Amino acid sequence: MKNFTEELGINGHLTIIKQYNDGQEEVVFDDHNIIVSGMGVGLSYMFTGSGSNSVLDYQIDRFQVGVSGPPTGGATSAIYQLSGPCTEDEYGAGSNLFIAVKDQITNNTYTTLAAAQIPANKRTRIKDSSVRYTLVIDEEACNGIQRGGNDMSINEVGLLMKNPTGNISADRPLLVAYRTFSDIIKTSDFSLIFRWTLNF
Amino acid sequence: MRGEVEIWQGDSLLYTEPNMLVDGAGELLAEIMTVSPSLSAVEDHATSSILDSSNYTIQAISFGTGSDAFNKSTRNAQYLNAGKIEYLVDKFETLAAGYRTGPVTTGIQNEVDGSSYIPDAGLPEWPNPTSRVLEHNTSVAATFAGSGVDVAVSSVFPGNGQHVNFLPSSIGSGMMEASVFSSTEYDGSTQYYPSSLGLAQSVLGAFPIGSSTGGDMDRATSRVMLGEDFTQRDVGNKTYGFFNEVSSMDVSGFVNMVMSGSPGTTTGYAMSSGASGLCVSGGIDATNSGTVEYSVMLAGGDLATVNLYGGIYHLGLWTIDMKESLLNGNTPPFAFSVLNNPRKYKLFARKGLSKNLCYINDDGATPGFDNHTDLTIKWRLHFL
Repeated sequence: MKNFTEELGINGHLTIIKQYNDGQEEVVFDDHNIIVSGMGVGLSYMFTGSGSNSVLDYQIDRFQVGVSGPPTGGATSAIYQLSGPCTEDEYGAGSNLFIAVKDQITNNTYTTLAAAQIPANKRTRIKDSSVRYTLVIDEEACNGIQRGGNDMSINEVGLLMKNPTGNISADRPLLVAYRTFSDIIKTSDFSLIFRWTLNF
Repeated sequence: MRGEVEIWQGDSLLYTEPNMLVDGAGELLAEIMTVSPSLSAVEDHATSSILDSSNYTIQAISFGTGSDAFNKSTRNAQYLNAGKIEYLVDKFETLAAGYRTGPVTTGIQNEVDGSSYIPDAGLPEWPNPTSRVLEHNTSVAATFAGSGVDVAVSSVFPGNGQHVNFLPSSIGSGMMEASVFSSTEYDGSTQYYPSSLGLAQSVLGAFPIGSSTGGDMDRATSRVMLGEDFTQRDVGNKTYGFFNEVSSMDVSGFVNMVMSGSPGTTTGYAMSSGASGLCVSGGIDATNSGTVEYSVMLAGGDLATVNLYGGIYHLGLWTIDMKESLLNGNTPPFAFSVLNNPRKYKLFARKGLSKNLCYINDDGATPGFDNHTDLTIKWRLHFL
């Protein structure tokens, strides 16, 4: 039997745009995404009344980018975290991103990971059952990432639900959507704009 | 195929089949994802209560049937014309002392006097994921003199796509208090002959009173619907219902969610009885199976009575329609109310049945109408 998200037909579409400092734009990726099992987990907490009492905790309000996609075994709906999520430092101190480091729910345990906030005005209901998230990696963010002495490219991105279990002391986010893409070496010459639309 | 519905009679599984999520489910999730976080900073309790997650979950179940049952059938209890009223008056004048165990029938409806009733519902609406209601065109066709002139019942109480709940006298009189159907008299005799109140209640239906409110059904309604004074019935307890016993159903036919706690997280937590309304159950944390189960019980009396109104061919799960609830001038928390419910609902999922849920066979010694047994509906949504 299909699960709830499959039956409801939740799907998404991701467009990645390079926006150069002179205003030119270049679409570098335009394809569907993967709704992962975390979406169902988060919603089941809500519908059973066993999670947070605030609807805000079920909102997708943060995202991560990573440098090690695609994951071993392929990008499937079973994944619960990025393969190589950027650290707080790798997001860049000079960027406009607001980075929060939280205990992310990962396969019945918690992993401390950094994620960037999606401002409320970048979460837009564009149709009755569609929401668009606009994620901006500005010129100062994610530049010159190195690991083990090697230059790293951005090649994966994920959306996270805020705090579905309703943990009081600190948010515990949950990965709900994921996508890998071709390597992009981020420089200060351009911003990366992710236009991510979820259709519920 | 979306989710699944099971129907149980005691420990016997009678039926199981997938359901269908409708557009309202997707709209609800989009709404959840875009509720303004700025509301949390508002000190006004009603405003910040908009963020309560219970406002965005399943909160009601309802039952419906084909539109023909409401406005085309000449057999079901919704049907009423001058001939039927005349027949009833004559019957009551001459045979008032007797009692029957089924609806008034001879020459007007099927012959049912203790036997099972086969309602006429036509062909119920096909599954449609864009549906906002269980069935379209469900206004009753009955027209009769309210305050001296002929008035269509539907002009005062238009159909809402499902079975409604007008039979208890407290609901019927409360809803019709300021309408043309408020009279409890017919030809000068209080509640003895069909009154406009009783007639209007009887054609709208559809769920019976509870056992502890047995004497409270309007006498005229009882006569129209059952062909007897309810208080004279010696088999009355067979046609009592759960929903009005515990006041879990509002006048529009929505059965309220009675439990919104935290299954598995509360010490000594016990699942509520399905007889008290719509209940929810689900796992949590490491045992989270991703399955949410909703259950509700229909009493034999509920089934017997709603069968007179066309039976049950549709089931619907509903969430609160926050926008409509607010536009109607209500502010959260929306406390459920039978008569004036501040909750406006949005259809989330529906299930169409190819066979009447109230179907029953006579077995000779214990004929059908008084022999319905309780049913339990289990509705599961799988999130994983």
